[in-house]
Amino acid sequence: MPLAPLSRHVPAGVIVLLGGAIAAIAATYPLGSLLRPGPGFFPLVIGLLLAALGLALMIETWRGDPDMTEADDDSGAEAGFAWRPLIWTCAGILAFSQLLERAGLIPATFALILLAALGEAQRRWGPVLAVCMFMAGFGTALFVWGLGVPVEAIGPS
Amino acid sequence: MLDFLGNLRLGLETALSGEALLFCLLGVTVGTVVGVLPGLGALAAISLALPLTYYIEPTLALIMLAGIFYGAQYGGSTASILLNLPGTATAAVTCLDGYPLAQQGKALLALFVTAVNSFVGSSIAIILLMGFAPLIAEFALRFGSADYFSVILLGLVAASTLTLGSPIKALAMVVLGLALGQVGTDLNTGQFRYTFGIWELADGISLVALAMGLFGVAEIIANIGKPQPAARQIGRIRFRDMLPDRSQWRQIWRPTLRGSVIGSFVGALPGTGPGIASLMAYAAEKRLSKTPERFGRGALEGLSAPEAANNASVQAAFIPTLSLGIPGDAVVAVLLGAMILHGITPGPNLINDQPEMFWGLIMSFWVGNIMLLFLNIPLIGLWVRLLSIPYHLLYPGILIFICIGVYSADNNVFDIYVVLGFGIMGYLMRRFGFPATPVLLGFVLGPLLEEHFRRAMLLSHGDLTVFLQRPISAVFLCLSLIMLLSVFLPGLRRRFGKSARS
Repeated sequence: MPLAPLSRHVPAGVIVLLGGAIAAIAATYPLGSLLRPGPGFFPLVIGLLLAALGLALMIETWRGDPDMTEADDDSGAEAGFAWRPLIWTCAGILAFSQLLERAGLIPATFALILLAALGEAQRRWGPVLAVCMFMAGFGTALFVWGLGVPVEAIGPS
Repeated sequence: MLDFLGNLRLGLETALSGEALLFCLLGVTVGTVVGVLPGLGALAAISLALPLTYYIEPTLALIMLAGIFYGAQYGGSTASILLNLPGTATAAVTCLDGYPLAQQGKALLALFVTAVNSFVGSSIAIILLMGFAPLIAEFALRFGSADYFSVILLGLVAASTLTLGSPIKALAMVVLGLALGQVGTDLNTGQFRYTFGIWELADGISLVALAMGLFGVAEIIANIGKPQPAARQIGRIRFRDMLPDRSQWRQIWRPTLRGSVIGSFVGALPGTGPGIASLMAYAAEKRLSKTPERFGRGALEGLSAPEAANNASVQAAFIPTLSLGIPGDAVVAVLLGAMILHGITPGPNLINDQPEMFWGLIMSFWVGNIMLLFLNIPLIGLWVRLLSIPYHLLYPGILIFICIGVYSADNNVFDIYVVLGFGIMGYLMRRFGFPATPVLLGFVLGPLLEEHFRRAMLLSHGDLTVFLQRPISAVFLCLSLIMLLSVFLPGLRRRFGKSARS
C-alpha cells in the first residue's frame, strides 16, 4: 500500500503527539520523589517513552526498510480505507447506545442492524429483517428474561 | 508424590462434576465455532462471554472461558485447511501446507492429522503445566516487588519483540496499553488520572469494553464487504479417508513432538502467544527437513509441527498465569482479568489457597481436549457447513452481542461508547499495521507494573539499583535487555524472519 511520502509519517506523528500529551498531563499531577513516587511519576515516564517510540518509528519509516515498514504482522493491513463500513457500523452502535435505555432492546437492535447493513455495498433487506427479528427475540430471551439485564424489551427502563 | 496424586484426585473431582463437564463442553463448543468462523477470534468470544459468567461460580466460569480459548485453536485450523482462510490469526501458518493438502483431495487426512496433533501438543503442555506451575509458584513466593516488576517488564518486552511485524510498532502499542491502564483513580493517593471529569472513568477503562472494541468491532469493520470464498465441498465423509497410513504416521510423529516442545516453551514465556509458536515450529521443521522444497506444497510435517505448537503454547500460557499471575498471552490476559473480576487473585498463592480451583482447571483441560477430539473428528461435516453461513448474516448478531454484553457488565451506556471508540482505534491500527495484542497486555499489566515499582521504591528507600541487586530481578532485566538489543540488531532478526516466511 504505497502512501504519499508525507502521509506515511502520520501514524508515527500521532503517536509522538499522544505521548507528549500524556506526559504533559502527567506533569500536572504530583510527581513525588523516587522514594515515594507520586501519581504523576509513572505516566510521565510512559508518555515520554511513547513519544520516543513514535520518533523511532518515524526514523524507521523514513529509512523505508521494506522488511519493517510494510504491515506484515498478524493483523495485516488491508488496501484502501473502508469508510463505508466504518461510518455505518459506528452509526449503528451509537444509535443502539441512545435507544437502549430510552426505547428498549428491540428498537435498539433493529436500529443497529439496519444501520450496520448500510455499510455493505449492496444488501437484500429481506434477510436483514430476518436477522433483526431473530436477534430481537433471541436477545430479549437471553438478556432481558434470562440474565435479568435491567432494560425493557420495548419501552424506557 | 502422594500429595501430587491427592491433588490430581481433587482436580478430577472438580473437573468431572456434572456442572463442570457441562460448562467445559459449552466452552470448547463455542471455542470451536468461533475458531472455525473467520472474523470472530477467541479473544472477542471470551470478552463476550465474560459478563455472562458473573452469574456462575468462578471455577466453572474459568473452565468455560479457558475452553473457548483452546477450543478456538482446534477450530481455527478447519477454515485454514478448507478455505485457505485462517479462522484465527494464529492459524495462518496452518494454511501454508494445509490448503495445498486440501487441493490434493486430502482435506480429511489434513483435518484428522490436525486434530490428533492438537491433542498431542496440548497434552504435552498440560503435563508440563502440572509439573512446573507448582514449582514456579513455590519459587515465586520468594519474589519481592522488584522481582515482580522485572518479570512483568520481561513479559511486556517479549510480547513486543517476538512479534511478526515491526517491533517498534509493537513496543509503542505496549506503551500505549500501559498509558490506557493509567486511566482512573490512583490507588495509593486517590488522585484521578486522565478521567477528564468523566465520572465513569474513575474506575478505569473497562477491560471487556476495550477488548471488544479493539478485537470485536475492529475485526467486523475490516471484514464487512470483503469477498467471501466459497466453502470447498468435501463430499461424503468416510473415516477411512481420514486415517494416515503407516508411512504418514512415521512422517509426522517427530515433527509433532518437536512442535509440542517448541510450543510449550514459547507459550510459557510471558507475553508471547501461539502465533509465534507455530511460526517458529514451522521454520524449525523446514530447516531440519531433508526435502524443504516440499514445504508449502502440502507437506504433512509442515502441518503437524505448527498445529502441535500452537495448541501446546495455549496450554503452556497458563504456566506463568497461574503461578505468577502474569499472563502468557493477550487472551490469557483477559482470563486473568476475569479471575480478578471474580475476586480471585492469580499468583503464587493460588495453588495453595485454592487447590480445587487450580487442579480442577488443569484437569478440565484434559477433559476439554478429549471432548475436542470427539467434537472435531466425527463432527467435521458440521463445521464445514458452518463455514457456508454468509458473513453478512453473522456480524449483525455479533454486534448486538457486543453492545448488550458490554452494557450488561455494568449496566452503563458509557461502556458502549468505549467500545465504539476502541473499535475505531482498532480499525485504524489494523489499517496502518499496528498490532492490537500488545495494547491489551500493556493495559492489563500496567497497573501491576506501577504498583510493584512504587512498592519496590518504598522498600528500597528510593534506591533504583535495587532492581540490579536482587539476583532474580537482575536476571529478568538482563533477559529483557537482550531481547531489546536483538531488535536493534536487524541482521539477526531478518534472518529469522526470512527463514520463517520464505
